[in-house]
Amino acid sequence: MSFFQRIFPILALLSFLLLIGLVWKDYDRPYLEYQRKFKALLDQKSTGSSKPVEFGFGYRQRWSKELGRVDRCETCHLGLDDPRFKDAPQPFTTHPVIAEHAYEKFGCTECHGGQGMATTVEDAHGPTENWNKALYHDNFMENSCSLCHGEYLQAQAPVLFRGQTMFFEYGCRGCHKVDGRARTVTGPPLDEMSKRVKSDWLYRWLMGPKDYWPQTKMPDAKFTSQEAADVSAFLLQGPGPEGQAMSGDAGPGKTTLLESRCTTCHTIEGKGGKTGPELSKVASKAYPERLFKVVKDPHALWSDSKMPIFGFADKDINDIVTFMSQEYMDLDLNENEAARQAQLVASGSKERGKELAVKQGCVGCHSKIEGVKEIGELGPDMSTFGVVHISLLDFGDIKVPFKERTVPNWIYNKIKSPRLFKEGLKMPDYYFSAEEATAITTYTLSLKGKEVPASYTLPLGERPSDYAPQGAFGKIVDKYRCLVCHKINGKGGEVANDLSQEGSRVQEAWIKKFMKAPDTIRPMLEERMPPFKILDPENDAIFAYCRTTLVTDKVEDLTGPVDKMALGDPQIIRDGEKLYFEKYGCNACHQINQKGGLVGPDLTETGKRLRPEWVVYYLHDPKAFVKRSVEPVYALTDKEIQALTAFVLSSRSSVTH
Amino acid sequence: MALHTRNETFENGSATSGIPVVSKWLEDKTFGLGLINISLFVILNVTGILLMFYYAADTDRAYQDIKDLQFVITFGAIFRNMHRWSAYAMIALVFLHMSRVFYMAEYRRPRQLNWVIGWVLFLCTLIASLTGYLLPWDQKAYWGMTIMSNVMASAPIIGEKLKYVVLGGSEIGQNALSRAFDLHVKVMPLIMSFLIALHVIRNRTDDLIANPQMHGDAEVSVWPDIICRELSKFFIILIIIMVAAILFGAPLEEEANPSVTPIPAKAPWFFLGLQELLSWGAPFWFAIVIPNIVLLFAFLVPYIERGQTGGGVWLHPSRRLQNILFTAFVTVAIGLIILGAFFRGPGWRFYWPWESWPLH
Repeated sequence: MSFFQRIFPILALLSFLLLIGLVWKDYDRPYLEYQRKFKALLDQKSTGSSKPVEFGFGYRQRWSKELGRVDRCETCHLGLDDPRFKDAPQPFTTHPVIAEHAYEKFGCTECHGGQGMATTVEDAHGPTENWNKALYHDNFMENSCSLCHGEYLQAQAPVLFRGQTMFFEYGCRGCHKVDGRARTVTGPPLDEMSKRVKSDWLYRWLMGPKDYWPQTKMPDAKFTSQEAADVSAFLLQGPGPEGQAMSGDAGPGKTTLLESRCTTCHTIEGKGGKTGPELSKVASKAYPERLFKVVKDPHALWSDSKMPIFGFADKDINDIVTFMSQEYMDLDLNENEAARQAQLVASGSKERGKELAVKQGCVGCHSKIEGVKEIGELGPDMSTFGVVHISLLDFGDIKVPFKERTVPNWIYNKIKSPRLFKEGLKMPDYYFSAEEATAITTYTLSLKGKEVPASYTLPLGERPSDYAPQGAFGKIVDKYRCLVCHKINGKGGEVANDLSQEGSRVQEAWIKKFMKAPDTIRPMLEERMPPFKILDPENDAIFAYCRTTLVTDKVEDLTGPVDKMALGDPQIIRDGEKLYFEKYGCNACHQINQKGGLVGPDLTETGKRLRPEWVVYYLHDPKAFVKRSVEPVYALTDKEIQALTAFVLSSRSSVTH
Repeated sequence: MALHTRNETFENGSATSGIPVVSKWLEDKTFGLGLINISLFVILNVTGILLMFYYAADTDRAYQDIKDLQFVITFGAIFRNMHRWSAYAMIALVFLHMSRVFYMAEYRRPRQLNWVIGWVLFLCTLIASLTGYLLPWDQKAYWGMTIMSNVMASAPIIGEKLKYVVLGGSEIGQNALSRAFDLHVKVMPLIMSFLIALHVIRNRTDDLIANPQMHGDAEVSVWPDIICRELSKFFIILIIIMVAAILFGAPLEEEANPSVTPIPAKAPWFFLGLQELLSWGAPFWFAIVIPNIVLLFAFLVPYIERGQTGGGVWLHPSRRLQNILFTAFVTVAIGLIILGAFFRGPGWRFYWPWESWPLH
């Protein structure tokens, strides 16, 4: 008997045992441990019920054929559907309720990322060697919403929407194309800079924009001193400011400036609106000749400027400019320092400056740079950046542990500190906060260039309006830039109220008076409408447009019923007064004759301001027009509405409280 | 049928008379390499058939099927691992078997044709491994095949057409996958089974031709004794493969992505030597001419080397030259693979194994 013959039985036995071992190894999967824990919890929660708890061990999966995904997450995440597990620890926690996202139809990974086919924790959550698309961090979760719901999700996906808005407003498309869309006009044109700004100011601005205007959208290109001087030299080519020096009165200038409520848009020493630049140091920036032109006709200098044409007389503008030149100086500026900076600029290299301007992509936000035409791609195309392959992203000199080498991490860090990864990168720094960087990252991740099957799409949210008023009204709106602050038919800003139904709302005499001299309607607000020098024909045109176009039948149709209401009847007015003060306590939020709360508009002048039909309409449903209205919806009866309307419209004359 | 032991086959005759052997222990040990290879072949076929139950050679689902095998199918991961490790082991062990046969000069008359059949089997093993390598449809598979098909394309005159025939198109897609699958699963096992049978039967027959006096007293009976011994060795291999399958998972990379090239793209390890050779010069010479010449030599060894002495034992002194030449060949073959595996980085530039590669 040879050696091998002798050991044959032992080997046979060993093989058999190993076979048992294989069977055991295959049976004992990691997920069983989770499933046993879950069953224990399930038993606990079901004590007292008569039926024994049904629970099958084994893997679970959702196979969505249309999406081409197999998600086995529920193998461990067992309490997703069961509300009893709301407070259970992960992985058993109930899934938060988000509308109708049934698992059979959507699976999990379409929104959450990760490796659906896996049944072990490390493989499922990622990243692993062969699966880099890890689970999305909670911060970036909303990025998948736009796949099905489109781009206009404001309410349901606020982080995503904020990121999208910021991407637009900060001019990212100036360097990074997305779906071939046009650039945003972010910054002013840079022609004739030598006539506009002082050279030492431009040097300081390029060295650090946020030092001059903290809310500026212009990023910091981190120029060295010499580079800033070179770029300044390049931009400041040409003749200096022309025209005579101003000589006006600073006193009246100050008055006019304060009355004109410039802080609605501009900040002065940090206080004010977000639309225009900081003004408290403007004299050290701009030449008075230029300031004059800006105040007189900003549109001639920059057709996309948000600043309205006020219609001041030249003398008034002179006064304003004189005041600004005297008062709005940079008091921290050392004169020797300023002179040194001006000298640096004077001896700067224009050629080098032009090279730098091209390299840094100034043309991405600014137009009319002398000699610099369209220069094509400055940064990578972002149309599908959300699903870029990780091997294409360079972490540079930073040592990143494998688990953190993911696309979201790279994008977030890049946005937060653009030159972090290594020397020689050129994306400028926006000094975004963590929240802002998160929002923009979320938006970038949503750019997947991928389409879901048609049965899955459900566009939500409001599409942007393409409302563009024409004719005389259109010209007026353009001149005074109404839509920077107001919204009409979905287009415009949200600094002031929505004017889409203004024609149904206000009385003619009042609105015409208001347009000439806007006063306070809402005591709480800081912003105030500036007093434009509206000409009478303009005023008439505005009202005509309001009364014909900005109306709604819901209010107009109330004219008949309102005529029948005896709104002058003293008894009805007294009933209304009782309802106003006692039953509904309207004075908690509204003022009449300086008594009452400050939350809502002052109601003293309502009789002259609002049309009766509007008051009736509004009381029926305060949220019908202004969805964000704070006013409670009281379900008033028709008689109560009649009484309250009568009271409010008469409030000026008969208040006794 | 009764057979004498191996030793007896060579004991008479002039093989070892008078000349001292190099190593007493090594003497005429075969290490059962032929048997090991057959065991591995059996394991490969059995696990392969089982894997086929859940695998479809469709580019849209091949990768997902591998994931299914790995994560949810009962014994899926184990069979896949066994299949992969057996395949790699078989390539190495077939090579070792061939080396052993050379060192013992067992290719001499009357076994010349058997040597050729053996080399054909080695090439079949490589083809089976190459076609099997493509099936998981991951990055390694896709780009490995890209390199190999480009090597084929560098042949003179017929190169591009050859690549087209192999891929079933001008790029690696569904046709290539279907083709690889059919070759791997139907054609290769059939050819190899037939050739293995021929190889083994010829071996026994050649024993008799070399030693006409083999018929005689039966000393050992095949059943149960020899079968028992051979089954023992089979079990050892099975145990080793099963343990390897439990301990080490078969590698898998990301799903095949034509737009992302791994840096550097490397051929499967068993063809890495060829890729390394290719990097030394023009593809015509280094991928076609030199390898084919080597192959030709290999096939013709029994017809070139017609010595009469030193057969039947390892490293007989009278075969010093042949052994040295062959050892050089083996060293170069293995060295090329090691070079390609550990010393080459992006752009196929030389890097020490401990040097880190730049990403971009």
